[in-house]
Amino acid sequence: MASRYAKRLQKELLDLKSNPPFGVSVMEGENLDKWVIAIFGAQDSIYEGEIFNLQFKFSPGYPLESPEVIFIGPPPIHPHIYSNGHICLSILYDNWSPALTVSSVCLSILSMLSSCTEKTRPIDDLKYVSRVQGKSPKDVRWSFHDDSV
Amino acid sequence: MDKDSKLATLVEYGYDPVVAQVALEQTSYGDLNVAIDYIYKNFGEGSLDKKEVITEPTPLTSQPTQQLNTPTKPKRQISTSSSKRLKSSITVSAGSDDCYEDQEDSEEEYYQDVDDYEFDIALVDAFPKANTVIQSKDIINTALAEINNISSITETTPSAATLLLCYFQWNPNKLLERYYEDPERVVSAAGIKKIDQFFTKTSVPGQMCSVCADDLDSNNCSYLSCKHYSCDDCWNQYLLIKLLEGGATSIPCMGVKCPSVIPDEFIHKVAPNLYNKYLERLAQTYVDQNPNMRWCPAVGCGNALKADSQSESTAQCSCGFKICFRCKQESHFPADCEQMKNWKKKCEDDSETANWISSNTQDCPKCQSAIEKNGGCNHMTCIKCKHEFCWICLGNWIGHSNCNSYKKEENSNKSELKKNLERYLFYFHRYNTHEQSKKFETKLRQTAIETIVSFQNKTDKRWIDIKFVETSTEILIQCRRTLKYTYVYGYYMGEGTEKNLFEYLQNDLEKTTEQLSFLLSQANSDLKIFDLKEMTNLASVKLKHLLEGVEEGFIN
Repeated sequence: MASRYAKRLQKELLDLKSNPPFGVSVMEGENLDKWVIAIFGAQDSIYEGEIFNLQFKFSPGYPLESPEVIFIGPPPIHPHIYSNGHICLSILYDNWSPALTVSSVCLSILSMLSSCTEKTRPIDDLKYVSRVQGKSPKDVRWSFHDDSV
Repeated sequence: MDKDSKLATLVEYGYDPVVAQVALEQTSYGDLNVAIDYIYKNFGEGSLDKKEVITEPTPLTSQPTQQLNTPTKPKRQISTSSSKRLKSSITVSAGSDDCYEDQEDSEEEYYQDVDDYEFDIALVDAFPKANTVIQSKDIINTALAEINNISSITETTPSAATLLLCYFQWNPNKLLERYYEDPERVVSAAGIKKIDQFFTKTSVPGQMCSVCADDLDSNNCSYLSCKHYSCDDCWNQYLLIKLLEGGATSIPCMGVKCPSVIPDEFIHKVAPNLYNKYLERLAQTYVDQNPNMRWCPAVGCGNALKADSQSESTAQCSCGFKICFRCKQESHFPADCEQMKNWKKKCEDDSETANWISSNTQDCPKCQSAIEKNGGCNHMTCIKCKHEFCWICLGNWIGHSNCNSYKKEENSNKSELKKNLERYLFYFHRYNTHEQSKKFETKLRQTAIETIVSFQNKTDKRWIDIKFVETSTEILIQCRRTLKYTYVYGYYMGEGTEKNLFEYLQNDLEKTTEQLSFLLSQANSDLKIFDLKEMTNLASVKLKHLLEGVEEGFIN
């Protein structure tokens, strides 16, 4: 188990560092189980010029289990991103597939940002943030209303 | 018949091979009956059980429990037919249950004069069986047979047939009807997207496992026609996780948002060690989704019950448990599901009072010492003062009769509310007492066989008589269960002649049940066979009367 996890992560890290997708950059990757990745708001999107930090935490079950992904530092103001950094995105929870990678997750989040037209917080932001205090988003039961944004 | 075939016959009868071997050696390979006698004398009935424990890891489905349900046949019938049947069974073959009767046969003549007691009425089964019991080990085969059947008729793969069956809640008739109307619509509605070819143990040079990033060039790769390559090791891990999550019928491919569903042959080839787990899950799905099937709710029993007709409401498992098909609880006749729902709700609402009332101790009405009830019988004798009283109404046992009907106190000082509570408590107390008694007596079922074995070795009592303890226990449990629910029924019953007659029969059954319970609780030390037979018979007749009354009306 450990070898599968380490080998795959090492390979992913190597790929990300040597050949990163546009708008994605590895900030911290010294520890295999916790990475910080910066994503850059795309040109012509409402987030142009903004930089956000994503934190990836990997359990030994990765990639059969999904990683825990949250924004650290100020998160983007987006209808699917809560002010505590939790992201409402189905591929991070129920629709995770072991064939997904850190790079494909980053690109999904970037595309989610790019297709947004209005900077608003989720409607239930306050309620959610106070309810899940200190919890990992993986321990929250998500329902996904809208796949288009 | 040579030595080996004699041994084989005994093993076929259900005896432990080692025991059979010893018995044959000791009886110098003579008559088989002599050998069987030897086994009973020296090994007791345990020799039969022992064999079954070894071959069947699920003891709940084994033979002895099934024996409990077959009402003992009238003796006369056995004595005329058994000797003939025994001879033929040796030369041909016989199921293991024949062994019990073979024993009866060998002692038959000896006891012919001693025991001339006969049943006038065959024991009543108050709930005639109208369901099929599917033993836990056979569930998966039943499911697979249905899948194969559909698969061959519709000319689809077994995986597709499974999805079709799930979609139609395992109703093959409805499935085929709709399928012939419009196969394409049915297939797409059932979620069958793409199940076709798959490749296992191949190599795909230049590709990597999409999960662990291993090279796939050493025959370690498996994939469906959607070409999401992965190594077998990762498939195993993935399938394990999916099976533990519970789904068996539609595990998707590992690819991102891939519509392919993994066929069961793929699991069989790629992860053979998980295939049993897959079948387990499939069996679970089969019973859960089938509206005509229920799991037996008894603790530790994995059998499934299948109703033979939609209208049947009661089903019985081979472990003895009876279930109401509608509400999936223990069978609660004569009370109906609606009454049980209201009753349970009421019990929960009044739980504080109920807790208090159901506490297990009461004071002796004469000397006030606290008494804990540790058996099922409600005829109590105080250890200190030897006072005999009824646990239910605390009245003197001698001259004690009908404590089952609630008498309204003509005291108008009490508020309506208080009266209602008292009325409820009256019924609840009786409901609960029978429940407690039933719990104690259900334990008797487990010890019944042990009791029988111990008697077999130390007394000269007839085998059939000792076996009868089991039948009595079953009847007693049946009476207790019915009595328990008659108090729910009675609580919701309107006043009048009907109710008076109902309470008369209820009281009748209650008294007989207590007597039977007493006899059985003494059976360990003092087995009064004649009394026990008489009382069991009486109880089953009275139970029948009460149940018939509920179904057909009491006045007629």
